[in-house]
Amino acid sequence: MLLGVCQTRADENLFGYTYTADVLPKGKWELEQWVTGRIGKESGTFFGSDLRTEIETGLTDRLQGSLYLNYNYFYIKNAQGSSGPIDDRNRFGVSGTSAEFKYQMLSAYKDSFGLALYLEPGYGTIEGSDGSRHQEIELEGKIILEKHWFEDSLVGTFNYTLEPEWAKGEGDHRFNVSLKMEGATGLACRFAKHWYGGLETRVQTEFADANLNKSSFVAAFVGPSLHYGRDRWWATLTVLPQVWGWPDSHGTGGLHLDDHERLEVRLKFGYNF
Amino acid sequence: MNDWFRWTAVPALMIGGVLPSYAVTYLTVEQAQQAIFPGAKLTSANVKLSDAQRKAIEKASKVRVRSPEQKVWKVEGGGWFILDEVLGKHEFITYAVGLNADGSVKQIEVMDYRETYGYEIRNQKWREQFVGKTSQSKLKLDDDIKNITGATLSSRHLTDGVKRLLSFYDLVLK
Repeated sequence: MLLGVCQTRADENLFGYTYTADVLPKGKWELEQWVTGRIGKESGTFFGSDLRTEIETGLTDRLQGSLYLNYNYFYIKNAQGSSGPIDDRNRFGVSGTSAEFKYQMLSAYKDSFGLALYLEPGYGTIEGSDGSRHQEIELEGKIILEKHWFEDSLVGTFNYTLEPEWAKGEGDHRFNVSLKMEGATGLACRFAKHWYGGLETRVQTEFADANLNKSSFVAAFVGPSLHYGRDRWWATLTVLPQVWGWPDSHGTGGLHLDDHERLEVRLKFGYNF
Repeated sequence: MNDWFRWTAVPALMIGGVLPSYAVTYLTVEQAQQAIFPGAKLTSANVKLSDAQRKAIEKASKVRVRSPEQKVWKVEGGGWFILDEVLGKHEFITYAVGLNADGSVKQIEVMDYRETYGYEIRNQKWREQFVGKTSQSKLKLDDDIKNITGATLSSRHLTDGVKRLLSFYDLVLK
């Protein structure tokens, strides 16, 4: 009686930030909504909200494709970053669109570990760190590793990301290139029926002019993640405070609050159909 | 932070209460027994494994034994009916394995599947791959058991479960 339905458990996000190597099977669809809140600069009020609506499908049993629509809301008042003041704003806007391709080379369920390659070209019009208008073209590439233990009850994953960006701000005459590099890890344990709890870490750095000798900043985040999944839908919440950053307001190590914030909170919701 | 907790936890709980979930019982124990051993008389012969037996089964099958309690019925005239559970994506999958008198698999039946997806493990053609398997069989996904694309977790856990039960037969019931 249920022969019209088939399993699409794949690509259920156990983490808010770190990707797993799972992909949707061919012909299956998933709708995802992300809400990321970024809160707190050096002083004043800063609240940035990144919203993302995503539709993804299995193009083959190994290749998954997605389309995103990205939009933001900013409420900024008397805020100071590490290096100076940030303009006040209270604005909602569509910031751009992006696509995603994920190719699974190895499955953590069948092979000794999971491996996937990920590519996300994107175009944006709002600078995430201060809400200003700009134009940005980015190409995010990831290597995703995943390992399971204890009958798939404990899941570990590691992402290495390289992201060249070409950005042109208000008043700029040409695009400036930069290179972001990120390492992210996630470890999640199934602690009850439907529930996974875990920990995520992210370390991100950016190189001006894509020159590896010109590091602009480093920011490290560590925090818990909680995942709840049922048959057709799932939700994941990750709370990720910045634990270390450079340069801080004194130009030394502390918290870097120009390009990042004190706290990020991400809620994802996915629905399979 | 407190605001964020309210913004995220409350909608999540509301969604959890509103969105549908599924729990499908395909077969009761009696129905599974009749499906595998029609008309036969079965006698309960439940087993509680000792630590040594658990370790021996895990060593032989390379599959973890989650519980020492194993629900077993002896079939009049030869054969065994074993009730078991394996981990599904979100909940347990309940299934039964019928063994012939020589310990080979006669039939398997998926009895209780508590998630909407993954129905393919109930397909007769897929389940027939297990018929005739013994504790000496490989029982490995993508080898002697075909994977079901998109249902890899269910396929692998059920395959591992049958492998564990065949070692259980070999080391305890035989």
